[in-house]
Amino acid sequence: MYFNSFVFAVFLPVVWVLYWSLRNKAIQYQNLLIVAASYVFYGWWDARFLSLLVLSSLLDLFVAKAIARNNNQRKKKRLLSISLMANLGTLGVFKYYDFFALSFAASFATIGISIDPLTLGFVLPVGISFYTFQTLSYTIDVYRGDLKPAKDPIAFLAYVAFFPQLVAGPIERATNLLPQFEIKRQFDVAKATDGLRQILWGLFKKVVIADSCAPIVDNIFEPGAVWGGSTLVLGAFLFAFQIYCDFSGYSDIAIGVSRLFGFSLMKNFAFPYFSRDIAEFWRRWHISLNTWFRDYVYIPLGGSKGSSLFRVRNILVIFLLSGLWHGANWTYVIWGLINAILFIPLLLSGRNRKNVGNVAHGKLLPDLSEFIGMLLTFGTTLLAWVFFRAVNVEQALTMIRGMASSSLFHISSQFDGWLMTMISILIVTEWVQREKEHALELDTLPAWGRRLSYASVFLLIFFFGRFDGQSFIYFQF
Amino acid sequence: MKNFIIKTLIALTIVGSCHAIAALFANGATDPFYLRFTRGPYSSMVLGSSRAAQGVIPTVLDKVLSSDLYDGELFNFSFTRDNSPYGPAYLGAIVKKLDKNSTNGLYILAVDPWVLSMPIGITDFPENDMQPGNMSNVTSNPNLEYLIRNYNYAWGSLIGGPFSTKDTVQFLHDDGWLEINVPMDSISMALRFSRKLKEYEDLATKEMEYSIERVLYLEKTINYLKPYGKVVLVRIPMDAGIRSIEDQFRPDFSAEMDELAKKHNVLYVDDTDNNEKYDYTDGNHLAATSAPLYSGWLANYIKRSSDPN
Repeated sequence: MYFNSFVFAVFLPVVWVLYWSLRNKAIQYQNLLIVAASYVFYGWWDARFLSLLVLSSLLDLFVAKAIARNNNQRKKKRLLSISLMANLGTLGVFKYYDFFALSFAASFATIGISIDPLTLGFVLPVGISFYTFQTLSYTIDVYRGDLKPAKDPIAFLAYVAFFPQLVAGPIERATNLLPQFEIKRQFDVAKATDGLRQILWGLFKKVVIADSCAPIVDNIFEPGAVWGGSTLVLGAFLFAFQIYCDFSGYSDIAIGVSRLFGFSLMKNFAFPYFSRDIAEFWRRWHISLNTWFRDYVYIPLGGSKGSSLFRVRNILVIFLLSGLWHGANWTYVIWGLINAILFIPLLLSGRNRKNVGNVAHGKLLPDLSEFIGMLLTFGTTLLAWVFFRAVNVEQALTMIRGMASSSLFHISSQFDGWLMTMISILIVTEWVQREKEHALELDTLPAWGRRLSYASVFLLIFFFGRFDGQSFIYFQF
Repeated sequence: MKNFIIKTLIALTIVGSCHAIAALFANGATDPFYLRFTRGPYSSMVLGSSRAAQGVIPTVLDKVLSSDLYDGELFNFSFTRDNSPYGPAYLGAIVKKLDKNSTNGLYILAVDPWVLSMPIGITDFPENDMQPGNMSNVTSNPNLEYLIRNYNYAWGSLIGGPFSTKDTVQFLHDDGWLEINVPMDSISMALRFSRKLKEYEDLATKEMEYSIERVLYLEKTINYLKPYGKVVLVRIPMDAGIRSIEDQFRPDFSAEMDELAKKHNVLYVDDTDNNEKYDYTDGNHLAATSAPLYSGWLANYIKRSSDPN
């Protein structure tokens, strides 16, 4: 079930009405409804994979309980290993096995040894990387003693399967979300209203910008297609906005929907294209995944402590894992590597936390150095996105070489004036609202101003949206 | 909470009303299919793929064939090779579109090897999830089900003006005929012809295989329609290049169809040997200028064949 589908437009109000009609009953009833609704939501794609989700949830529920009961550190470690192996093993089989089998065979082929690799050809279950990381964080936190195991199994199942964020995040930590399932939720008008605003903005980003960019990007990135420099740059530019609006649009809708049910999810994007350096970009892009890697991989590896070589190794590990998390393809590995290469000089020179606050704080416009920093950061991410989107490394390299041609100064045949206008509206709105939680947080405006804003965004969706059933890009990860 | 619900309902009512008003503007320029789901039921129909959709003009046949040959107006309920090959989905849609009171209708079933083929290795009928297979209502105007399921753009674009996504290349007429207006200069035509040839070469050599199951569904369709009137099988002409690919893909196709028509005691009309009489937009589809010519020829052929004298 997609957020931008008619089915979801019916599903959401039905679940919402049922949910709040249970507000005077015991909390378990609401949680049970969330579990049932979430399983329907997930099973809408392919009910077969529901069993993986249920098994993963039950395994971590029991393992975490066993870890908490046990005082023997070795046994605790063994129990944690069971959870890690089962979860990462499932992820590995479904997502990475074929990639490594084929890469292994290819590397042997280079030295003249021919191996016929056994591939599985499994369909990747939707959202497996998201809910696997979510359940893992729960078990690790219990192992570390940062969290007590869930008392109520229904609350835990609801935490893992919570439908707004189940298939594409934000990847919620049990320390933030699980306690919310264990206390009574109160309906908060201000929170719900702001949730609706965030949903509206997320829809604008998804159906007006991301889905309008998609066909042009697909056209430009079509394997074998030959384009001039300006079109290739346009393809990278539009993909940058497609992936941002697709993914952050999903996060906005997920956070907004959660607020309608009385939950608060973590922020997943903080206007990343206004970043002044790559370190700031990574603090603002897919925050839930990056903080997951930071807390469960980077810091245990030693983080930014130790020798320069040690720190470089840790950064490389983090970015390569981040690349691989997105998919089993060398393009993602190189995308991760490029980001690591851009990040490492900042780390080694101690400038990786130079730009922590909001750009142009309290001002209308950035100063020249901030503006140049933003442009350079956006430009470098643009190049990295080419690897992320390309079918293979050869295509990415060909496209980047093609960008540096004299045809760079011609107007591209793929240029769409309306789409550029929509992207401009997005940039201006997000710039003005960059210090807020989301771009449509309008509490300070008078009622007429708020209504005018809602009507404007609705009309943009009404006239310029696309509803051709485009999936969200991050569903595949 | 009460206030929140009331305000949300007001907002949703405004949103719903805007969409309902926009739906009233949907017409033949909306997309190549929409209008076909807003008319009927019909007691006489043209059925098949895009060759029939673009090549057979019902109003031309209506003019030529006297009203005593069949009841009511003929309607073109053809779609594309992908959407409406003979199979359970198309037959289901035909059943919904048919006026069940009819006893003297005319049903022109266009056939070619592609509407009787399946993608290699696929066992389920892939058209089940496409229109008309995914439609439960094929006769309401406006057809909200169609717009919700199958219209890919914001409904505001139905209103027209600068936000319109309606294209000027194709227009679906009230009788279901899809008129295509593309540049017919030699350069544009050569480009379209070469692309279409490549597409059909791939279909014939890599992608499709002839399906006995689809032939059985064609027979089921004939048998279903026969009690409601006269059934005619038609092979619509195509350019020599495409014809040659079809002949390689299914060498005895015309003879097979002739035999099938005889088996079911229906008329089979094949004018593919005279394909040079007509112009084509891409080699596969009759040009808008040739569609009236072919439709007139077909009408006269059916008339002559139906005349006992």
